[in-house]
Amino acid sequence: MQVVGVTTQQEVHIVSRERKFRINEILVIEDEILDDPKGEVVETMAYNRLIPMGFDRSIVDAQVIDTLEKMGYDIEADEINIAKVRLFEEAPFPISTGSSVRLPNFAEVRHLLVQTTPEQGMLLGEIRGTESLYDTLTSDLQQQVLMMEQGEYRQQRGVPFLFDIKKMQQYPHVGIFGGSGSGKSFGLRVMLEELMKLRIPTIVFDPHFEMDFRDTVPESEKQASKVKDRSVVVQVGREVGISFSDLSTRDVTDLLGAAGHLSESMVNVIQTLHKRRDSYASFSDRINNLVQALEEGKAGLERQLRQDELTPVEVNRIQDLLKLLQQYGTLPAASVKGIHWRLNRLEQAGLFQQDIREIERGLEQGKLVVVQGSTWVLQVFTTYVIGALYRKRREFKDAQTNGEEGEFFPPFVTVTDEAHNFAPKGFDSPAKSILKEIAQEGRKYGVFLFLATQRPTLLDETITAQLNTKFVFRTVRGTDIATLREETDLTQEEGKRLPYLRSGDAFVSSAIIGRTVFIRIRAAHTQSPHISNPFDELIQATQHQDEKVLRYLKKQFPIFETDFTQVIGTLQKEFSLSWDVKRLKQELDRLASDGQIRKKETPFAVRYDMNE
Amino acid sequence: MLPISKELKEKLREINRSLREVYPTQAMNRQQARRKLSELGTFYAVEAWSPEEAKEWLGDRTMIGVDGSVNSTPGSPLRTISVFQALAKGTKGEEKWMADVQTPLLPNFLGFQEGQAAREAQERGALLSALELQVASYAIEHWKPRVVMMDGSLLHFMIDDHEKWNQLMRDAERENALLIGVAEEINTHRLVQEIAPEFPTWTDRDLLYGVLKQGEVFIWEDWSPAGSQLWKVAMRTASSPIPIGIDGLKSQEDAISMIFQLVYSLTPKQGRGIPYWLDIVDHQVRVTNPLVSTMIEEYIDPDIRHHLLMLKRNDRMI
Repeated sequence: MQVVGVTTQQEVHIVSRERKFRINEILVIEDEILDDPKGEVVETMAYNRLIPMGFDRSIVDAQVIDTLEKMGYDIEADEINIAKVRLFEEAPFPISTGSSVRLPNFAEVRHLLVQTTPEQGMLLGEIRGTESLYDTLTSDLQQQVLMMEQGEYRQQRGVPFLFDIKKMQQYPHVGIFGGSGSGKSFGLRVMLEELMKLRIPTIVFDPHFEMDFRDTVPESEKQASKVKDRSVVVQVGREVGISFSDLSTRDVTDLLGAAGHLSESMVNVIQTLHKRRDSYASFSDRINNLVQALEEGKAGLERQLRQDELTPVEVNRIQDLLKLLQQYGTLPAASVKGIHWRLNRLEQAGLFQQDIREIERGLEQGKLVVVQGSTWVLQVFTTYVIGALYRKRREFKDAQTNGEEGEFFPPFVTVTDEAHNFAPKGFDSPAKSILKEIAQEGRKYGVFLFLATQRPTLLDETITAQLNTKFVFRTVRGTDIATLREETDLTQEEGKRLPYLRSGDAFVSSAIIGRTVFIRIRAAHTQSPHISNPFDELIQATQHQDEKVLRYLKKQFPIFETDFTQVIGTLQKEFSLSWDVKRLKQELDRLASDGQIRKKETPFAVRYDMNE
Repeated sequence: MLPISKELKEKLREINRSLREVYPTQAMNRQQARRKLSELGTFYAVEAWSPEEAKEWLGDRTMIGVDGSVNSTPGSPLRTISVFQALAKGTKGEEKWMADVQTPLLPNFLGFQEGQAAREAQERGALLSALELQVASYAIEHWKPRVVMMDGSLLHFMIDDHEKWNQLMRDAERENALLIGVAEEINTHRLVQEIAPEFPTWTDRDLLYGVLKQGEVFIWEDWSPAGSQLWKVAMRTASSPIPIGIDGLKSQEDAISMIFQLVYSLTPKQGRGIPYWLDIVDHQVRVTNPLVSTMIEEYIDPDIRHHLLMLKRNDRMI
């Protein structure tokens, strides 16, 4: 391997006859004056001068090449491999052309690749292009990860990629970007496993119901023990909810706003009607009653009061309504009704039936808490729960700074997939302000964000700018590639590679590492619960039903059209299939055309029978 | 429109007319030429080997291709440095290089005095031939090849350096290495003199143009000069209508049909009709202009280079 051609302070071209260069591998250039600079292969090419390409040249017959090969000539020996290498650090003057180049041993480049230990860092995968270093790898880094390539497990072959999470103190927050099928969700799973391994309190919002860590993969049994019993799954409206009496008027406004857009006048209604320490019951009663009072009107209520045969309770109630009307009668009825409707929607989602104790307990125990719920409910809940937890943590830290003994609340990590829904660019959303605050101030209090999205372009820019580490998986959309290139130190060549990355391969652009590293995410220790294909499910369901029906029909064959009513009755009774005559005929015809039964038509009748 | 003067255009048209007169299309059609040729010699159809057959024929021995190249720095003939290089390359990875550098700027240049340009050019060819003959001899002695393929006809090696040629011929016969020369062009006149003396400016190539079918050989006993101890044939190895010339040793004549098959099998059906192995050797040995200038820059001190070799024309403004 040798440096050829024109060199610059940053880049050199290297050729080799024997060795095929690997993208992203590290090479040492033996230029003594520059103290043997190191660089990374950023582009590779191979060329065989004996098999030229060009429209002005004729093509050599394969037969001739084959004959020469049979005669002992190794045509590949004339292949020339070319690599473009970018130096890690700019040299003061260009590298001398002709310098020889060699592969490094691990000790020489350790500081460039590994910043922490497998015990203390997040063990996320393997650094691509480091295969040649495996033999000189120190034992603490060998056999650390199990990899998956094209559906097959394989042992580690290169240097493991360790993310030094402690450095998030200086360079907080992580972004995970990639289109569907890029391995982004999978990468997120591996990161969460590592957070569990390190016992870092984590809250995950999971609108897809896929973040379940109980189902471990047999191949990584040993590793899986490190994540066992370290996660809690809760559902909004079942195990957790919002404790209404803890909400401030602003919280209530945000919440209702998340259930449906609020007009100015509706905001005014909330500000007028909500009182501190209101419980859900007291607040909703007040609104219900006001709606009723506004509907009846002052005259209507007074008329009711004049009626005879009123019980004292009823008198009381009407008087209460009148009082409400007197107090709030100026509020527009439509806006009050709007608030009424939104409040009901939240209530029906079960949002107010529980509190967030379960989540707090999980975090205090250093667990990973997965919060599941439909997207809109999660939007509402996220806003509330992150705000509440962040406040708790902040209060503790502020108290500590002031020398007071506050109630301990742990630092924690917040993880959100589809983050562009929570903090969109260009318009407001309930969760955006709290996410923005954490993005800007979180590191002071030890609260960190892991945000994943397939549309980086749609994510709020202030937040994107604060993500000091970005994992970039395959991305196809041009605008997203442009955004990513703007927001990271990805080079043009790397940008060009983005649409072609294999699922599970990612560029890591991180202030912690100081340069872009190309990695492959390791195999996960756990798997997502719903992996059955809906189309397989469809086939299975049909087969299952056919078998059932056929088993019954066998006993009834031969069946004539005149028997249909009786057959339908039994099917209804025994299999709860409510078919009418038309449906039964359709199904029998289908089974016949599938070849499962036989259909015979005579001028007098149609007869269905068993296959022979 | 081409930016050329009226006068030049007229001259070119005139030349075209004269060429038409000397080389008329209808002068001899292909059937006619074929008939006349078959009265003189024989046509012989060759079938290409399969790769396996080629391998079997070669056995565990090797095939050598030999080629050379010469190039000079640009400038007046007396102010140049010429680089000579020859290579014998075997299919099993063997390589033997020889090289020489000459310049008329030093007293003992090719053993000649100044101003003998014609002989000089001839001598340059002879020097290159000598290098090629030497690497070929080396190859035969050290690698015992089954076949040695020279780029260019054997006859021209014999003329260029009789002594080294005889040495090579003896080596080849002793080691039972088939020695053949493959020439891209057939520039002899003997066939024309024999059957078409009415066209004195023609060469044998013009006579054979388009006459041979693909994979066909034309053999005429007396083609090679008497006493040369060589046989010589024309063969159309590719789709191009221009045949190549092959010659070899009379003493190895019994292997002739295998030689045809070998040459035919190794030649790409498009292209210039030369066995690809010779193209590979040629590609490797070729001293290109950039290579010459790079070498001169690397090894000749800048002051001498500037003083002796720099051309004013390189400083042209437009």
